[in-house]
Amino acid sequence: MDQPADIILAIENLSLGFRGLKALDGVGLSARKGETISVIGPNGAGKTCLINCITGYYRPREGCILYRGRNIIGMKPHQIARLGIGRTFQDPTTFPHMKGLDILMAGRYLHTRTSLLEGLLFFGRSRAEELASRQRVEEIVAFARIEEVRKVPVLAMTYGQRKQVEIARVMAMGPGLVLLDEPMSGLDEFMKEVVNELILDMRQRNITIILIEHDMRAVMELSDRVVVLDHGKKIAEGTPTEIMRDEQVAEAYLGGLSYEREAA
Amino acid sequence: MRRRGKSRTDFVRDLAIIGSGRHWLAVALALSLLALLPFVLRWTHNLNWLTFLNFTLLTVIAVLGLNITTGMAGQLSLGHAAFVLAGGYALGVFTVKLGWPFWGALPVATLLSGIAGFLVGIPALRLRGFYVAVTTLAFFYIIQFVVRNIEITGGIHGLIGIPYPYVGGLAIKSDIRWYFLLLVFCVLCILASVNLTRSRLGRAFLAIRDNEDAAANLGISVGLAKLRAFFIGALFGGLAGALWASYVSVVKLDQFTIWDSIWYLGMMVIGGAGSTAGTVLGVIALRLTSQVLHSIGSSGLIPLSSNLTIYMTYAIFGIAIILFISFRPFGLIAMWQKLKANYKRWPFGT
Ligand SMILES: Nc1ncnc2c1ncn2[C@@H]1O[C@H](COP(=O)(O)OP(=O)(O)O)[C@@H](O)[C@H]1O
Ligand SMILES: [Mg+2]
Repeated sequence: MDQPADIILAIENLSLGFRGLKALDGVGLSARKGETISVIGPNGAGKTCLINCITGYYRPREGCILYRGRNIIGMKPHQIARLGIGRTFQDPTTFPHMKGLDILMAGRYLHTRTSLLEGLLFFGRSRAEELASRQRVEEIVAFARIEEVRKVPVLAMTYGQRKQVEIARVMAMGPGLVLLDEPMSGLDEFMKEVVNELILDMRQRNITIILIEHDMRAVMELSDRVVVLDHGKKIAEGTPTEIMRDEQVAEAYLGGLSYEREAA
Repeated sequence: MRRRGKSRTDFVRDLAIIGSGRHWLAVALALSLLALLPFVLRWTHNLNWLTFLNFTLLTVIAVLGLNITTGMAGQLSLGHAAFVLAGGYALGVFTVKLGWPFWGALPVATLLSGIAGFLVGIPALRLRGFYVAVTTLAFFYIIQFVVRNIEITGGIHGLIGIPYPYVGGLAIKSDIRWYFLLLVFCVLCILASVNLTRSRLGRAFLAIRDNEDAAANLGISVGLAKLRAFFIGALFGGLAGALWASYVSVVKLDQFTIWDSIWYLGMMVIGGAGSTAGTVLGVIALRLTSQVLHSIGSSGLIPLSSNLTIYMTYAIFGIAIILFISFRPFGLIAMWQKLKANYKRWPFGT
């Protein structure tokens, strides 16, 4: 396939079905290194399904997903994660009983090599790796402002803190491609601003981002391009300003449905 | 990355198991008390309690293993006693039938039990929750069946004359010597268990327990991690079984029953599943209560037959376990931590 060299993610003709329902129908999308692509669309449009296909949780019926030129369809979720693809989940109660710090440290899993025996006996690489991971994690804790939840289990956190921890976990993973599933839904203005800055930071560090978000202000501010899904089909793609002017988009999405209500 | 909030740089201290001077003092005090305990018992003519202590130490080692498989990694095991059995019988066969020395047989028996755990994990890979438990239960009966029906394990008679170990020329024969040997093993196992919680594998276990699917997106190979959880848990169980066999110098099938598996689970749950300190606490609490009830039952203080009191003990523990699972799922240790936190805030809060 002929593609510019800096294309990180190329999705072509992606289709996914659940019995009768076509959750994704011939969707195509591509992202260059460092780009932020927003995916918007009403509820049930297939946005989460798209992320689940990219991260190996759903197996598409048709199409291909190339990450750095390599087809990743059929790979297992952990293999895909090892390529450097991280994601957040729409429901941020991902690890209900784990404490904030443990979640972020678990995010460093792929950056550590301590073996079973070294771990049990706390010798060899264990100590050095623990300290290195913790160093990085503490930077993220401070930046994401989640100091208060270091030792707090997720179930005891506020909804906003859970969302923050979820993003901080992906940051700790240090991925090349990040998929964010509605990171701001259900948050108040202040918390949205905090999350906004986290995303900006990832952007500045040249991480490629696929952002699913209903908050149009954030989408306008953060994205290089916007893709609009409706009933599993891509109905528009363009710069944020183009999309805001598009009539079909207004019809399908901005018009009828009150997307702000969607909040968790 | 810009720093906005408060960042911490003193986290090197967090890495230490024993964080502060006060903590050191408490640990030193506890260890000295434990070291003095047998002598106190001797002076007060209560040496029969030493047997109780030794079995408690053995049980702590076994349940620490279950806590890794089930408490940390979330793989419900009803067959943990099978690994204790495997370790015990392996040591018995190696020493009695093959004439190996104790210290040669112990690590091999432990490792064999670990491998058994690994194998049990394989069918459990494709299953979740309750079905994993059924697999482990089935394994328990399979291993019991095998041990009963092959010759080298002595069939229903078991094996007798399992040798005691020597440490630096000292024969570990008496209860008091066993106490110190078991105490050392127990402390080492507690350390290993705590180490696990500050390692990548331990956190992988927690992630899998909480959410297998999301754990995969951290790059964790969920299947492999589960096998490791079974392996490590069975290692601990096997070690306990092997030491047990040598301590009582016999192995017999009725030493390791399915009820032990259930007891182990109960101790872990009441103490606090997933927590090393909780597990130790749970074993002590349950064994102590059961011992006290037992003594009351056989002392004739209450007008009931001692059999009846034993069954009543079972019933009481059954109810306690159900109550804990329903209302205090994090066990005694969580209650203790909450109490401690409240005490720190006193008199400003409850
Ligand atoms: N596992 C599943 N089984 C059946 N239907 C599903 C499943 N996951 C998603 N769907 C359906 O696919 C459609 C798209 O869902 P989703 O991608 O979650 O939408 P959204 O754009 O709101 O994230 C919805 O109609 C949803 O009901
Ligand atoms: Mg969704």
